[in-house]
Amino acid sequence: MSISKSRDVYLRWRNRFVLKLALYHFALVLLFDLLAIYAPTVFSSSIFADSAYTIGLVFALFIVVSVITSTFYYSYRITEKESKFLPGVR
Amino acid sequence: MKLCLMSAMMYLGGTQFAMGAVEEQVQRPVNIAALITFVMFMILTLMITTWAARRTKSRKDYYVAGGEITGLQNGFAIAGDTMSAASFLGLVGLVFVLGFDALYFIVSLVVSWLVVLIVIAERLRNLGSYTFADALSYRLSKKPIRILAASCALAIMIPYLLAQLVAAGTLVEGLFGLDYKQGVIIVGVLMMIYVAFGGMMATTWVQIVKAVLLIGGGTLLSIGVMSAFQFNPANLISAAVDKHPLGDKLLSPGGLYTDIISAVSLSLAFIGGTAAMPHVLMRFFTVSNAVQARRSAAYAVGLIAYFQVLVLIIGFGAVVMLVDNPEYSNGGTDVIGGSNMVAIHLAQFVGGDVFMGFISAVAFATILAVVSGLTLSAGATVSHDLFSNVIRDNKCTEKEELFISRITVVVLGILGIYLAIVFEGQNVAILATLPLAIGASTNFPMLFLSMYWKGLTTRGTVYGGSIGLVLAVGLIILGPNVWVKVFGYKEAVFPYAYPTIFSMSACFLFCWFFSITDKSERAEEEKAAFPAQLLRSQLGEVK
Repeated sequence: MSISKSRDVYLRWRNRFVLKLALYHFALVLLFDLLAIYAPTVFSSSIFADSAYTIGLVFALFIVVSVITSTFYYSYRITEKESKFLPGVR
Repeated sequence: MKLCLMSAMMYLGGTQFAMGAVEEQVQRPVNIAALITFVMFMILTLMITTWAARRTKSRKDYYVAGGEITGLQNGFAIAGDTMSAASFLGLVGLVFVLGFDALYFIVSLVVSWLVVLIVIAERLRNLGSYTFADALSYRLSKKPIRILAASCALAIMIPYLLAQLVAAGTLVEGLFGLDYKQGVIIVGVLMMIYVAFGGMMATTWVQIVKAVLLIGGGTLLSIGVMSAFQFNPANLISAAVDKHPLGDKLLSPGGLYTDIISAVSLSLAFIGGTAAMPHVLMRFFTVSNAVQARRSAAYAVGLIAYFQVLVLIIGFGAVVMLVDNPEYSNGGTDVIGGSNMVAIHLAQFVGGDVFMGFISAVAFATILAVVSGLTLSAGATVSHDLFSNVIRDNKCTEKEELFISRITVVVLGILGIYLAIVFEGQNVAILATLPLAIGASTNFPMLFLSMYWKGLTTRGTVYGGSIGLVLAVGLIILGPNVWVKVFGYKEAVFPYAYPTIFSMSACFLFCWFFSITDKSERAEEEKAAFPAQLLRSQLGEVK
């Protein structure tokens, strides 16, 4: 594969990857806001019977964990793809 | 309404502190541990400034520390910028009073940093040199774009700076037993010294030291809390629900917002506003390349998310340990000194006077570090964007530009001190809401479209950005935080605290509309320059 073609493949992949990640997290935040406003009883119910954790709290922590995981996954994938498609550029 | 204001103040934390102080002032005796910790911080940071001043010779050294900061160091500095007194004092107070609703802020703040990482950081680093206006004006007409970008940046930074100075004065009054004016002058003078002499190198290392102290202090406080619950979060949450006057409702939404427009506006303000703070964006130019910019954003996400979890633990711990405790509370969640004192009281409960002194000094150092970053960025905006690129048409020498930047820092410092003293005891609500709303309604849409949309033209950016700016400021003034709280009217003309859902959408919409209707020759040239910009933004300078 020529350098420019390899670069184009990488950039296309990267743009799709970023878009998916961004939309996924925007959707999570929007869902969080929607459920908090329109379904407060769902958010305040316990995740299991007699559990101290509520669905809302667990959902919020899930978003935080998702952000951390996505951050490290993003960094790992981008570095991996760059070394494959852009040797010498980075 | 009080809760709405509290939320608005959260990001700028100290400001809310100032507001609380207006309601209830607590004069404490001088805490020796606090004084010793703060004096040690001051000596260390002044030594850093002396070291940095010797290394600061060129414009690049002054604005961006010569691009020599590593990803990890920059990650700590960025996290430090974000973890203002707000994220600590303000947010802990919010968890303490509201419980669940503080999660709106925690979630939005953490997600905003992912947006910075994947959408902004690398492209910004590849397109710019010193300020975000460099990247914004890469293929657009330099002068109008820089004037607009500088106006938006100053509209964000000056209120933010003022809010922090007001907070510093109140913090000193409440914690150290010193006079309000003394607090403002100490912070203002130290800030001028750090920035004018040490530039970005000093500002970055002051921020790193502070971030380490804040994260360390927060971790110790959380360990102190968790040890009382056998390190089981479920025990902590159950005990908090049992103790809080809200009972089960502590973990239910609805205490702060009950309509979707307010909730989404708040999320957008945090996500877009954080990703558009000029002093934070400037940090991405302090690293050597886009890979380091990516690493710094990744480290920052990890540190900020970790700190938010600590805030939750500290907040719930405070509920158990402070509610109805006569030493700290007037009854229920009515804590002596206001809700911003929650973390400080908890520190005393967990670790005694010495630990409380340490946490107080760290909170004060936090404000000092944040105002230094703000002042440096404001100085760069005036000298680099306005003086060098607009007034002198990029024909001034480095020496002249640096001179203007340092003069701006001194003028801003003196003006800030003067205004903060004038504002003593005043309602400064507007200062807290403005920065995030303006950032999300102007800088973020403009920067995003310029980097991702081929069709954006100078005309679209100028009209869209200006409309976003006017709407953000206008609707905040007409909203409850200013119209009711400051002007004293019975009902607000605009019912929402944050106008972001309207002003941000308007900026996107008008940028688009005035770009697609722009048929000028210059617009065609700008569109034609997009592919080259796109390549550069993603790969940097490719030979």
